[in-house]
Amino acid sequence: MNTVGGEAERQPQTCRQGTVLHLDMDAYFASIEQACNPSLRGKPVVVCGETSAEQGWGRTIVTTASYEARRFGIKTGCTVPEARRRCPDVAIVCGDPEKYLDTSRRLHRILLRYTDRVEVYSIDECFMDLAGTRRDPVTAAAEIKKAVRTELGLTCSIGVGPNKLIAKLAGDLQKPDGLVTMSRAEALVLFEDLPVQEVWGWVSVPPNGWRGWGFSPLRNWGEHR
Amino acid sequence: MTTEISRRVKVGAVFEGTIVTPKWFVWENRRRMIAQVTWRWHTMDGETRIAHFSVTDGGNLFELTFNPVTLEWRLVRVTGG
Repeated sequence: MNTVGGEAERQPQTCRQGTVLHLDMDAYFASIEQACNPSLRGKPVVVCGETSAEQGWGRTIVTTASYEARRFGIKTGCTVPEARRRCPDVAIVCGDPEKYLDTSRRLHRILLRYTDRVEVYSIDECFMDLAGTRRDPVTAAAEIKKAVRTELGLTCSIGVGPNKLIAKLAGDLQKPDGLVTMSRAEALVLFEDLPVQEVWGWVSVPPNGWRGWGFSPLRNWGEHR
Repeated sequence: MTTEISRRVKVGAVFEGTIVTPKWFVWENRRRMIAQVTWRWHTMDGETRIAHFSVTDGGNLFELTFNPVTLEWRLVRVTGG
């Protein structure tokens, strides 16, 4: 696994790490709102869907929490009253989906400069495959991060790997503003101890876990792939 | 606190190629100089691409829209600083 931080580390590497990139915007909705409103920058912010505070926030759900809010334990999916209990000063912003969608389209235009093999996974997540482009994936990833910062004023985290699963796993290891590469061999080492429910795409675990089954699914996957 | 306005306003703007940048607008009989355009995005109103601008005068945050067909500017909302 290689956390790519300095310029020297961004020199082209061989494609042994793979050509698949997973890009995830950092605290996407909250970051856009902080960029829009200078008074929110550096402060705990949550974005939610409710349109009228007068009706009371009730069970209104937080769709995104800024990293400043996450330090108080506020996460996506918690209710606004819970967020306020954890951080009384948290700023609550009603989300603007059109604004976020248009920004996503601008992001896609950046990614399409590198390859037409861009898969939009969600409003703030994309996969790309640079195979056949003759671009070094790590260098391209660093360039994309720079373009996202300068053109959109936002940060993102990128994972580079031989397939989508490993690229996403790598990208999730260092957030925000991360760039992590992971080879298949490195992923298999990580899978040895990774709780299966933390793996992307794994929808359920038996009620009593896998212990009674006598094997670790991920370890077995590595052995029999 | 955010107040919905949705009112036509007079705006001074610079058009450079395809880029529109509002510089000032009049609201409550006062000319507000725009210190910064903090965000730009677009929405569709039928076939018309409406430009949205999040702007600040250094104190409050405003959202302006520009309809390139009717050439109408609107002040959509104000967020108090």
